[in-house]
Amino acid sequence: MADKRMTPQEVVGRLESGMTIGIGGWGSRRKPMALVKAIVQSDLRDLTVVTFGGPDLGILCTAGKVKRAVYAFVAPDVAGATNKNSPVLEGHFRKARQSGAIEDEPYDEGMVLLGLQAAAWRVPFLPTRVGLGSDLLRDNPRLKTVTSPFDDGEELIAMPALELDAALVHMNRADERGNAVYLGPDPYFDDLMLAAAKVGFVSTERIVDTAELLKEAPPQALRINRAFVTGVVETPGGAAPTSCEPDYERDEDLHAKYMAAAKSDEAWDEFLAAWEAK
Amino acid sequence: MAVLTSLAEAITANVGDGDMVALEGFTHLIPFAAGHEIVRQGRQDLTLVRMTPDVLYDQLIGMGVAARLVFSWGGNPGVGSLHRFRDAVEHGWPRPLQLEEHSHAGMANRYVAGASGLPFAVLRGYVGTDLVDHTANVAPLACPFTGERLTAVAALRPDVTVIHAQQADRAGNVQLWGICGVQKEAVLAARRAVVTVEEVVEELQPRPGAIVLPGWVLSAVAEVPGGAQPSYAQDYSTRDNAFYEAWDVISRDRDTFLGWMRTHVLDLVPSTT
Amino acid sequence: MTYSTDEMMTVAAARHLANGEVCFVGIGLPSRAANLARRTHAPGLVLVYESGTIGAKPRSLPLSIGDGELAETADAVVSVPEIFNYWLQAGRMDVGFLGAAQIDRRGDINTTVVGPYAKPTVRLPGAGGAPEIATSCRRVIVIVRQSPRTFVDPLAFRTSVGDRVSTVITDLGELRREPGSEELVLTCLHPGATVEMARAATGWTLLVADDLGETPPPTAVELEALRSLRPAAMALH
Repeated sequence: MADKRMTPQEVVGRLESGMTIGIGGWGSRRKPMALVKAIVQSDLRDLTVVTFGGPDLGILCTAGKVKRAVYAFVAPDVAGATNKNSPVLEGHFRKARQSGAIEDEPYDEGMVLLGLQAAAWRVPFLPTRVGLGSDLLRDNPRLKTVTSPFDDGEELIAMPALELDAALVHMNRADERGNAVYLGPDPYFDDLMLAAAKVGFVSTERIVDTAELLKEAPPQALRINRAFVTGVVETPGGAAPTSCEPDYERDEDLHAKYMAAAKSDEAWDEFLAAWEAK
Repeated sequence: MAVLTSLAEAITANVGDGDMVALEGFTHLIPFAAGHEIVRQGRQDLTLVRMTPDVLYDQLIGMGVAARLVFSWGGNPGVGSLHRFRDAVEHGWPRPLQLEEHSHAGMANRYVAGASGLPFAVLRGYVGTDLVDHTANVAPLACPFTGERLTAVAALRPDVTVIHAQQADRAGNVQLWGICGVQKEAVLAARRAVVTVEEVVEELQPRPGAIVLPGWVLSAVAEVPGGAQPSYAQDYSTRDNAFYEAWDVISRDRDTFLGWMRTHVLDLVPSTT
Repeated sequence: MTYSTDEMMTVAAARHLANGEVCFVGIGLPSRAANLARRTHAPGLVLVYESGTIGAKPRSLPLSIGDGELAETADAVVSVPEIFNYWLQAGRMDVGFLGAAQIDRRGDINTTVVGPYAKPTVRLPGAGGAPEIATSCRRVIVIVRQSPRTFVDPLAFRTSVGDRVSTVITDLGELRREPGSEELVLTCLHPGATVEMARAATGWTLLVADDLGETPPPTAVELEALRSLRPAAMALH
């Protein structure tokens, strides 16, 4: 059977400037940050990034890699909701967005899900009521409406397919053929990202034998099918500073450095050095 | 919220004359016992819905309970024709059967739209086929982005969906596994849902590829061991392929068919567990 | 070794499936040929059935597309909406393998009715997965016994569009369509079959290739593998 193991640099070698890249995980949870780091260190630029956004998008924005952000949200995630002293705004994204450095394509979570599903099903759009009545129709020119051709004549939002040139996701365990499991509380939309992409890459805490995949996980955790995976990268700690439960929680120290890094070039260099050392 | 009840009570309470009824199952987990109970209770003028009407629907059609059939493939898989279905369509016996037919992808997406609470679903399909000329529930739709011609299929919303599953717990949560077909979508698309199960267990154990239907989306759950035979329930029974082959002979002749139904369905008292 | 025309047809069809290809398999003759290919030259052939079984490796020939044997030996079992939307429509299938009740010169297929739709002389099973298999797989192979009843033009009902039908294998030979041409052409005869037999079994004026070939007869290995597939189910197909 095919051995799909590769390095982060080999993954980046399969990507090109101008591509649309989906990044799995959620906010600051189980993001493929080792692969994001390899992009930061590469010559890639002008990327369109599709994400449920956290430090992945923020870092790529500040590193000057992003042409267009396609997102359900971009947030510091965990702490902001539970600790009133923690920031609730994502400084890197905010700076890029407010300065006009990036193009902007906002959706909500349900719409991004449907956009990925449309791409995975090879239809150019899917109808939905999600977003009806919101100002997304006014401020996202990519959205259109569609009228039911049947007697009900209902007008719905047409969510365009979010076709990805490549998808990057991080899973707790994978085998060398590309089957992978998550061990944390939530699968997020990683499987859908891979299904919506022309090529998919999985970074993982540990590559194990296929027979071992379900040793630590219940059967339903086997979300990633090798049919959707081009490359597998073993990157222990590869989600940091985001969390990868139960293997590790968010690296609060590194994450704080990341948040502070939006403020100055010196702070950014300090964060990059600390992240590099991980 | 699902009530644990007998099969007879579940059918009495949830299947009425003239209803649109989907007894779903894709070769695996076909709800034969529930279908037979519908025959015993003498329901009439049903619109039967199913992607793959096979021997159970041949029996229901032959007993004259259906006025209409909405489907995508009607046959005895690997064996041949459904003789009662053909007799109804070709000769109107025991009564004429109105047909609305689709492709599998069309039917599956009609259930998806129904389950999603949307008026229609979008797919690539039907274009160039003669299927579009015989139903109002398929319509061309221009993509508002690319302008390409797609096909819209109208949502399917049965009055009641009936399925068979391996297990339920005492709260009426249901788990099924193996070939899962379109049962989840058919249940979620329907106004009411009845599930027969092989067994009621204290606790549902997670299974690879299993579907769990929470009790609050179901109307009634009845414990009917062997309720899918001669179809099967993975890890409980195997498909009785010999019966499917034998059905070809039983169903060819109207009187032989009626005799078989009398002995094996009408004269049986349902389980009341 | 002696062999039947049906065996020759099945062996010829199996040879069209390459090792490592992903094949969406119809039940009956296509399933028999695809399973034969997996047991001979194409052990890595990925069999996908519309019941949602992906990578099925049945140890005996299934009677239906939903036999437990398919689910128990599959790499993955997915729902019916998923198999049609994520796997078939999305274009992940190399080859679709279909049977037919009737086929015309363009490869269009009828599996719905013989006679008028409202008052059919023969009510056939209907579309099933065929319309989308025929238009979503990169190429489509049809296996059907050739006779004036099955090779007809025009069709009583166009159930599936034949634009992607590349090869039709019959009990007499093989028809192919060259890229860009509309009509199927007889390109190969099985041993013992003649152009006259093929013409007599075709309800239109059959085109015959200039360089008409002859199918190599089944090898002993192919016949043995074919006959080891469960006989009880084979007799029904």
